[in-house]
Amino acid sequence: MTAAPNPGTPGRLLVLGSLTLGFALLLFLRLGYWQIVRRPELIELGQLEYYRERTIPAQRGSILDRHETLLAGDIYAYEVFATPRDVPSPEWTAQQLAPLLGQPAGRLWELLREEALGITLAKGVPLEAGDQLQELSLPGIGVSPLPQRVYPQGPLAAHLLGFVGADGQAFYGLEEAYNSLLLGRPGSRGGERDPAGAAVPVVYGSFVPAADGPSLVVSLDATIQALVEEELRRGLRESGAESGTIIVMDPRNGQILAMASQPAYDPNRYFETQPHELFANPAISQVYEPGSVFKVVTMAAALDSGLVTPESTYVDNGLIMVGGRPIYNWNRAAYGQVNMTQLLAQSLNVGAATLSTRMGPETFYQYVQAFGFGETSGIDLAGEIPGLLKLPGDPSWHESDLGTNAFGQGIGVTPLQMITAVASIANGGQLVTPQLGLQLVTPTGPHPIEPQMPRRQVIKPDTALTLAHMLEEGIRGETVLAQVPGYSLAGKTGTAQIPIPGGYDPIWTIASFIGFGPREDPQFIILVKLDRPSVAPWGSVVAAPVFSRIAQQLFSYLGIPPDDFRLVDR
Amino acid sequence: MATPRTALHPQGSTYIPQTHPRRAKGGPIPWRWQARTLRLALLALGLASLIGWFNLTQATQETTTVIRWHQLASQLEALRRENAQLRYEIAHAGELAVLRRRAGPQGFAPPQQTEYLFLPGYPQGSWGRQGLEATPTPAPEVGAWDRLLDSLRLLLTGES
Repeated sequence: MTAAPNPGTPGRLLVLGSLTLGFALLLFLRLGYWQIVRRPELIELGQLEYYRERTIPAQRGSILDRHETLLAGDIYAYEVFATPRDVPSPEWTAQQLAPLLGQPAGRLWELLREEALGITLAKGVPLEAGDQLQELSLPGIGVSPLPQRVYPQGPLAAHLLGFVGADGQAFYGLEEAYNSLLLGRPGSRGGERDPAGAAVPVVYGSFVPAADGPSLVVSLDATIQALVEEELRRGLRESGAESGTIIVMDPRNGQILAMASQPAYDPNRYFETQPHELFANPAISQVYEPGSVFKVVTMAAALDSGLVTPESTYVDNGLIMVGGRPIYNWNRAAYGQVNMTQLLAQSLNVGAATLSTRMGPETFYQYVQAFGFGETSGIDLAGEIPGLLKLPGDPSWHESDLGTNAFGQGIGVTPLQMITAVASIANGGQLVTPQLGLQLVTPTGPHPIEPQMPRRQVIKPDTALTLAHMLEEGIRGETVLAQVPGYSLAGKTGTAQIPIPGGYDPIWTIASFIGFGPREDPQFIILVKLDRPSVAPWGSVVAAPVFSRIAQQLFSYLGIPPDDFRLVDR
Repeated sequence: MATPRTALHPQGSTYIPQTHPRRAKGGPIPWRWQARTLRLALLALGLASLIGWFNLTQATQETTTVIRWHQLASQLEALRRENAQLRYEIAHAGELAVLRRRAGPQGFAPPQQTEYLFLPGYPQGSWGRQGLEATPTPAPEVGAWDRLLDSLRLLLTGES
């Protein structure tokens, strides 16, 4: 008996074949989906598992003084971290780490036993210890070098430099002003890693070296700065003043040689500084009424406009009414007939008000503005303010301001504005832009930094020379404490009252002195300002000696011989 | 004893043993074909060995280079860190207060009064200017640092 043919066989084969083919097609499509459509994404995911890219932080550019002494720079410290699950023997590892990190082994052991994926064991680990740790290659322990901003000279020039916070943000001073230039560009280093995170050096990775920020060379002289800060501290101690500011500038080009204010802070420990107002640089961000020092500006305007000559006289009655307000001399005395040199030497308020009223508001304020008051000086520092200058037409201006402004009352200036204005007397009548940045040094070489504003002629050279002679006479005759034996100096004292709500403080003053030398070829100009001196209120008594001591040291440091040696015709 | 006849030519005149490999008309002689196969196989093996040798040499060189590259990159970073640290230490050692502390015991003191002497022929008229001149920054020299960077650059670009 033969078996009957199975009529369903071809159909089942067809079905089975179709199913197999369909399944194969599905597999094929799915394979195509993963291999073609999702390929880039999967490659990326795969790379995440074995490819690591590490950022190489760029070194922030250093700040150097004019002789390339390091004022601010980066050093490296290590951050040490652990992946506890990859640490085979926490106890042994803790014992290895303890001496290098300066921490008890017990504490480290507890940290390494934690369930966390990653933990930071220490920050700010010194370079040497970090290097040793790297050489040990402990499983599960990693180190990462991080740049740290340091100021090797400590609090020196703190107000000028500013500081960089832990997050890399720059605050105040040069750090903030030149932040974008100093930053540099971080690099990166990528490559395959084993499960423990160690580099697998069998294939090329990516390597982009970090481009460090350029170094900034500034006009500051660290030695002069140190001398000035020393003298400022001594001045405060001897005068009993609360605070003070000293600026030393080269009047020929506006370059700042030193700029110091007290109280100061240490930028290395900025986080401990209280109150935060200490961070601001008083030389550029605090206004004060300059007092009699401002008579230099009034006299310059009067001489330059042709109103007077040094020999011109006026009769000083000890009182003048301007805008209905009486103006007296500092000692309420009348001096009779006096010439312009005597006016300056004896610092007569009545004389200054007489000059400003004779000039008229238009001429007077034109000169005041030309000397840079009421606007920022353009110095390359963060936080400069323009001061307070009321002009005719302003709602707050009163006719009496014409008289009081002439001797530095009712006008708010910054110490930098004041020294810049008087520097134009020293340099032949040109208002220079105060400058700190001299050049940026990149790998391709130095690149000079130009001042932000061009210099401008504010008075005639002859006027400047005449006024310098008058100021020299003033020191020689009246300000003995400002003199330096053997050297000709020009300068002016200032004793300003401090405005308080409803008038002026009856006790406290701001004592100041501004002068330059040598008179015939000025190479430095110094402003000394002491706030609220308790020993004596007068600039001629407390500020002038500070000026004298600094000038004497500068003559020695800069190698400037005395007049009878220097000016002798050989 | 006669050789057994296993097959006869259709004409019956030629004896061709059946066990002998038969050569197709016009085709290669069988043993020659085998020799050629052998040669081809040997050639393929040689070629494969050559490629393998070349590949291994290349891979070894690449790995050596990459290891060297990693070492140089690490050395570069370590030098940068060390350089920064040294600059800091030099600056700290040059601080005015530190210098004074060190100079005092050696008998140095700040000048109280400077005395100047006339020297015949000494240039006159530029007093003090020298002290205020900024130290001129020289163009950077090609030092160890730059050489290291160059080595890295060459490794990356493959130039030599």
